[in-house]
Amino acid sequence: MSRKKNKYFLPLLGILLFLTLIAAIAFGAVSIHPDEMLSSLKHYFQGQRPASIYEAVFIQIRLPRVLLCAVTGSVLALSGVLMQGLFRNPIVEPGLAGTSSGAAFGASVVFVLSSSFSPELKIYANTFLVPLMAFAGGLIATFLVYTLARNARSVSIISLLLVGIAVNAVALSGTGFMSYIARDPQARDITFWNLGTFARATWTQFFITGAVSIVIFIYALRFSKQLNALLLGEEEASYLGVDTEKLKRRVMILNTIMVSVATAFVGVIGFVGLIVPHMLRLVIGSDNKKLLPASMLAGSILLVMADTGARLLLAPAEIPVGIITSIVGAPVFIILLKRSNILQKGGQHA
Amino acid sequence: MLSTRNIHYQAGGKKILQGIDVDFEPGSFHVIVGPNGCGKSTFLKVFSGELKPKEGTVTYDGKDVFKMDKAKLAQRRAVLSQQPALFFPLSVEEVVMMGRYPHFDFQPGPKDEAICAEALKRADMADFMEREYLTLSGGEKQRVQFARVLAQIWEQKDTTRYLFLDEAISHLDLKHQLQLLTVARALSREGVTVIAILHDLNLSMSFGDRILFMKEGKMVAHVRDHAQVTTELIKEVFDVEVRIMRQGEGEAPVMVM
Repeated sequence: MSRKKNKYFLPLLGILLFLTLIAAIAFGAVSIHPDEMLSSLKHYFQGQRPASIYEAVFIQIRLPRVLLCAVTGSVLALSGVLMQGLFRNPIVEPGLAGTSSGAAFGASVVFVLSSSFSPELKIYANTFLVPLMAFAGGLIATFLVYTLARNARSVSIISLLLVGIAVNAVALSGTGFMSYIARDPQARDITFWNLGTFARATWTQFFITGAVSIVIFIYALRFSKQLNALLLGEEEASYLGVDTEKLKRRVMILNTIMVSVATAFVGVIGFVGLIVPHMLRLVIGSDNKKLLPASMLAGSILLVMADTGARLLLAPAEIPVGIITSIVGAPVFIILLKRSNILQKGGQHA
Repeated sequence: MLSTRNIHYQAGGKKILQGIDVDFEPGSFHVIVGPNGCGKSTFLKVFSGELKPKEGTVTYDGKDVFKMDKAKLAQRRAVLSQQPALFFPLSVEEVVMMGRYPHFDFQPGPKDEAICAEALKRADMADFMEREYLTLSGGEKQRVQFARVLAQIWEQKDTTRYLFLDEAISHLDLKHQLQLLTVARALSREGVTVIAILHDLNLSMSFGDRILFMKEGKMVAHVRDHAQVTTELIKEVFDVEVRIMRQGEGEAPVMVM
């Protein structure tokens, strides 16, 4: 195939991401002209106040939102690639494997408990305790799904989906219970968690998620060879000198950190981790060295587009972005299932 | 020399290997035969360093295989299984390059690429370099995997190289069964220790320098000479009556069921 000709693919994705970001910032309830973006940045770095309402919207609302959206997209896509490698199955994603719902449950616990906190403590809870509990919840759920769905050779998709349903149901009922005992404002917070939205994006959230995504990307890239070998099967990877147990443990922890942090800030956003790696595999193949960076860029592009849609479709009202990704993603998922013959073959493997 | 001593292995309360002592000398083509469930594949996993036995030792030139660095071991010991299950889109070249993973850090060098091309040629797959792995037939996939394994132990090292074939030819057509075994035999003549689990007794006798007969987790016989393969031995190991037709000096006998 024409894999060799794809050396322009990454730069192309980079340019596309830049254009998408500019467009996403420009359009919205308030349109922002590129001149205003530049002058706002200038004022910001000179330590001056925004000169107009447009500049204020840009620097305080639109820019952090679009950037958080971009890093979240890259985190979800990256996590999809890692999960698919770990489960050796191309149609796995964090939502199916319980990571997201486990994380949402962890977060909802903090929400309900934090009602008894003092206001100062509450700010800390929202910035640090929520991601931490989301991580714990996500890790437990993912570990459960992985352990229960596993058989001798690999994780079969059918057992994965079934165990995923069960673990997701437990996590969801936990979240449901939390919102039942919660008072009204906390219950709203929990609902927002389960739908996923960028409406409350802040710079702090962007910096935390961005830092996590970059660190984990570099870390994951170092594993790209071993992850490729794992595609052959655990035994074959082991014969190639890979310590598979260590690799799996590390990948699972990395992945859960990423998804939990993203989920803690913006809620559950499904299917990005599924669609992005899948589309890229068709174009550039499954070599993780190429797939990981490409997924980060394409994940950003896709989620920024989806969020722009979420802001524009019912403007001035907003749709939670999780609803958009699910509406688009679920049919794609069904097509993938159908095409990979899983539904016909009884689903040993994809 | 690859030596196993007193290998015992259990799984789920069932004794799978019960005390196997054997020496596989370098430069020979070793064959392991035996009925289903006799522990051949488990034994291969044990002496390849993948499965730690409950008791007993495996040494490569006197060194305990379970204390060796896995990555270092992978530079000189390659294993080809029946049919690795790979469901992701990758090019043939990318799959073969995995064989070079133990030898480079992040980016393969020109030498690695040259070795991959040579290995594909040797596996009779030279024209398939650019193809999608998933679009190949079962036999073609297996030949790509063979090329991957060849690439893994391509270079002559100071220490012995090892090639293990775990029922690797089961899905190949006759021509490519012979071709794969011929390449493996040529490697053994270069000093590689080749150990193959085979099902076909006639192929075993024409390719094997030494044949290990296994039954119920034990070694029944380890023959060096075709004359030692008798109808009684086959009856004991496989519970099958055969006729053995001896041919001329130096030629493998033919077994008829």
